[in-house]
Amino acid sequence: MNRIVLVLIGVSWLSIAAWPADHEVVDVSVTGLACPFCAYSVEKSLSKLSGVDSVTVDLAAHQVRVVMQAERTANLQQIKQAIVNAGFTPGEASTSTAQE
Amino acid sequence: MRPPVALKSVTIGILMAGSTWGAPVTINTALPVGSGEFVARGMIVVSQSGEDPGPADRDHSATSLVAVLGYGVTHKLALFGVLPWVEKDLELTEAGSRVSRTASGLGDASVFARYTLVQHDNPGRTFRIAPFAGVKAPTGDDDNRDMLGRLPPSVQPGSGAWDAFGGIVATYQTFALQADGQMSYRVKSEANDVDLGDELRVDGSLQYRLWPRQLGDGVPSFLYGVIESNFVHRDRNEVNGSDDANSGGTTLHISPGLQYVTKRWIVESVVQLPVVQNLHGNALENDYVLRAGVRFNF
Repeated sequence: MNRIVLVLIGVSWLSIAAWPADHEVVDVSVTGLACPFCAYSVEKSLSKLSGVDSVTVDLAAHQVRVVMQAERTANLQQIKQAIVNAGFTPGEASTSTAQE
Repeated sequence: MRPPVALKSVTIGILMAGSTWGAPVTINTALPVGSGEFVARGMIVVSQSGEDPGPADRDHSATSLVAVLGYGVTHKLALFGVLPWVEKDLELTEAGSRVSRTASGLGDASVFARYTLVQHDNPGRTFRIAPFAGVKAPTGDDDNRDMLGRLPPSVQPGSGAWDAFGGIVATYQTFALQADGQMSYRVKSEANDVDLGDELRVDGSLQYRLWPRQLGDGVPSFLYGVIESNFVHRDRNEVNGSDDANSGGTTLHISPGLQYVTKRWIVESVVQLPVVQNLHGNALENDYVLRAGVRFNF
């Protein structure tokens, strides 16, 4: 009986561990960004932030997508400041969630 | 031995092209270096000057390998260091025989700062104005000798003199094109009884995106067609306190080229062709300058 209980607890724990985590996705418009070399500068600056999982720039759409790790620590203000530090101007931002 | 004026102007141009950003090949740009970020540039510059109107039939060639490192102190203030390695060769006829005088080594290093004074950003375009100022230090050897004695200044890797320079650069960039304009002035000091003439430069650059014709998703690489112009006016040199009649003048180079820009690196090349060379006396005219290089964003 005890063995069955232990197996059930183990299976439950594994199920919880394997459950997809929510990731916050921040989309920010960026102005002043008009060449590939500049885009990498923005990527570098944002990638330094704590909790950032990935950064994707879409030049034509004037958008930068920042995917945060499940336990994010960077906030929107820090994300915008990182864009300013790269030499560009952040605009409107929106957040959403995505599963791993 | 008077220095080849056009060649020296182009050599100074190497130092002025210290910016490591994508954009102009022969001059600076006002585009930013991110705060705390480094960018680097390596360049080879091959210059040929001949067409000597005098009996010495001088032929001057120079090859420079130039390393540039840029660092963003803030998103508006960037510092640049420029270190060239040069090899120079002068062939001429002396006392009826052809001689070659050659030297190579570290050239004069420069450092300068650039501050973004104006920044107007819009979706997919930017306009910026940035003044800059710096100094060139006499780090290169200016006392090389050969069997004929001390080499002339035009062959020495270094000038032996400190220069101060400053100017302003404006940049307008969109997805389709980039235009840059720069005006600068360089004050030169005396070394070895030679005071090279001060220099005024007015430069322009236009880069037009040739490929891709339509922008796709993400960050595509760009192929730019490049056309640049370099107007240079130099005062006469002073040698032992007197004007050198065979120095100074005005030159205009036009430089077509190509530039391929990716996120992390750029490869580029232009050839600078002289279209105007109003030089004093029988100063040596420039034939061409070839520039090729890479830039890295790391």
